[in-house]
Amino acid sequence: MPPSGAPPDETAEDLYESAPVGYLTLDSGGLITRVNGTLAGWLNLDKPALLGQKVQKILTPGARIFYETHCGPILRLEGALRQIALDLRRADGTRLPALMEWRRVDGLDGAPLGYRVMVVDATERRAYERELLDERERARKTAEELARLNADLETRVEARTADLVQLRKIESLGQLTGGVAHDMNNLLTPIVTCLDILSRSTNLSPRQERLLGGATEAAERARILVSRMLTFARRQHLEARPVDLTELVLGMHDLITRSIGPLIELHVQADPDLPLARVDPNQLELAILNLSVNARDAMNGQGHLTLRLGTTLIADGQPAPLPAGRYMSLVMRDTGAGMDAATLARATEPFFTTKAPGHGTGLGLSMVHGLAEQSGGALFIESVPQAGTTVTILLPLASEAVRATPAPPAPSYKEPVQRLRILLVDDDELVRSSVAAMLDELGHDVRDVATPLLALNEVNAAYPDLLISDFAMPGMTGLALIQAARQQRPSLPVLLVTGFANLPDLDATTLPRLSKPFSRAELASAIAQAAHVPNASLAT
Amino acid sequence: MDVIKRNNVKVLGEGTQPIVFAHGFGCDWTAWRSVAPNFERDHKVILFDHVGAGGSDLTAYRSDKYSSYAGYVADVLEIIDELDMNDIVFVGHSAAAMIGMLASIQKPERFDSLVMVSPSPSFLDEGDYKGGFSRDDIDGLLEVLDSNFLGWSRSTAPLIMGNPERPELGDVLTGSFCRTDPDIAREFARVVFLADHRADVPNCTKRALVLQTQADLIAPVEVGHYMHDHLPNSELVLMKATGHCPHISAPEETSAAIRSFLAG
Repeated sequence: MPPSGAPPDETAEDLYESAPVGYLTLDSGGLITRVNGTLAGWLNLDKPALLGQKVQKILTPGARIFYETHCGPILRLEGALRQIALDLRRADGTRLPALMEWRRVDGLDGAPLGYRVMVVDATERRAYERELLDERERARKTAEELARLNADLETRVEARTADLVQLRKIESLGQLTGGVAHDMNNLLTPIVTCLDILSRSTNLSPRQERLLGGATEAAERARILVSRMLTFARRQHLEARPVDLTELVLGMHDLITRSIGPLIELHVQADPDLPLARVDPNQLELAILNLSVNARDAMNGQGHLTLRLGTTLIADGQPAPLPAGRYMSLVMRDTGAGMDAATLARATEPFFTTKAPGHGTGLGLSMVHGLAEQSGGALFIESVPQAGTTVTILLPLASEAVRATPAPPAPSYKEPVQRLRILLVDDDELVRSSVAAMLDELGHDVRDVATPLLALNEVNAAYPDLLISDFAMPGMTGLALIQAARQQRPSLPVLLVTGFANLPDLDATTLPRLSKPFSRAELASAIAQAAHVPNASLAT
Repeated sequence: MDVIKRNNVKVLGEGTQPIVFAHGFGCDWTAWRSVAPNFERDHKVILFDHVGAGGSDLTAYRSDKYSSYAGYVADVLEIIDELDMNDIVFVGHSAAAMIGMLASIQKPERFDSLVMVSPSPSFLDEGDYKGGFSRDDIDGLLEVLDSNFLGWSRSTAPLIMGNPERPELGDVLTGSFCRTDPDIAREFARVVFLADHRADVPNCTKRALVLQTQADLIAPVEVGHYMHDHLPNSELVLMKATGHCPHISAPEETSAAIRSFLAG
């Protein structure tokens, strides 16, 4: 008996038979010549059933292929195989995942005598490997998905960056255009005013009248041009109200037909019972005319122009520059030359034109673009070279359920209702003197000053009936001047004159105002209104 | 695309008639190391690796291209074009016997004859046809492959990838036995063991030698007879050698059989 606690006293034979691993001995032809009890037990086979069999016979078919294609050649060439995973087949056909070590035994002459093979039960390990492999596959898929998402994101960022660059370009062009338009207005005001005064002279020769007429017409065209620049710069003062687009477009039918010429067929299609849009109808008419003229030029005077009215739903998450919701859509499609991608990308830039010099200002589409955006809508242009262009204007629906009532006619000017003492303040000498002359012509008593401070002194000293102030002045805006003046005289009637018709500060006020440049009649009408609404408030 | 680099092509020998040796699944060009030299005196000997094996350019591997034998066949035809070879003897083992057969059907004018070592047009049993395996068997193979290749990148890599304890063996013949990229081997296994090209066999009109061993557990003797019966112009040699790889286990008998076929 071995002492208690000593390792079992086993013979080499015991060790071979009962070792916790399987052993096999093969002859040089791969036939099993010896097998230990452990392995026979694992396979649930009697030893005699195993002896004399080819070793491949105890492998599963799949493992047999791997052995023949991968292990056999290496074993023959190298004489050893380490930790090879193979599946053994038990007597009942079930699978025993195993790890096997193979060693060739060579005789003294170097010729192979046979092979020693050790087998380890790898059931647990194999299960763990499967989990690892599954995990690796999952990780690979996740990485692929991430890479795909990343690539997608990069594409979107690129596209967005390009959009932003274009947006910034348009924005800075807008600022530039707005600034130029403001200065142009200041220059146009004395021109228009002086021409207006001159045209009232009674002793003009026919030639003088003709020259004056030409100058007046040129000034009017300049005024329209500046107004479009302001629209693009989104600084136009918009009189947005509920508009029935069908009525508006049908009302323009003759005008459009005339502008596109006899060889272009105009088709107007409108869904029945369309809701009202919220937009400045005059500006929209101008936009439709601009687009009609563009279509005419693109079609070389011949083709089809389709104008379609309907509604469009912008869904949540849809890539659009608009909040989700329903919009009125006005679609104009021509069958003209179309635009290539490069032209299309720049189409709404101000002063960009493909027309011959003198045939376009490059402000048409930019005006439409500015109008759509300032109205809370959007402009989309699609074009296929040689196939035509489709321009879509989306406009917000009017929240008012009621149909639009026709705008009240502007109060008409009657010869001086009343001679007023008017205090005029404008830092621009040219503008100030011409407006003063016009006021004088209208029969008012004018006191004109160059700075807001001088104006404040006058408000106290001269007690004017009306204060007419420019908006943009150094040191103090017209708005600030009016606030200060009304500290002294809370009910002082005022009229704000501005080159930028639409300024954020002013949006919140209901002050009477007049956009530069203006005619004598417009000035008179504005005075009449301002003098009757002395209590217009500075804030809504 | 450098075809020579992609397929690790080697041109040896002093003869003029080209003899191309193509390895099968699980090995690389070194499988022919005891056979190819026997033909160097009389032939121009061409050895190469399929993409994914041995010294091939692994970056050239694309799953879609190599999802069937077609990609491997295209590579063989490109090698033939690149080396401007005609009158070719194509010796292919197992999977490569099929690749050579399909290539010779596509461009018969380039080939003289085919030697098919342990070929099989389909490994799956179907009806009367005994390919030797069921679909479950092939799934079992894929699992064994996974398990071994998982280890290949770790402890067993030195054995498979080379033999650091015996650097004197050098790299020419013994430094890199049967290297295969694990992921590619897995896909190649599907191509080889799930393909069925029985319908193509009768279209191969070239003179062909089918070498069939005793007790081939991968391509059983019935399959050897099937090939011989369906190839219009073939000879069947039943070898004394056993196992699926007679070119490795019995290179002399294999060489002699090829030699005798070429002389006939």
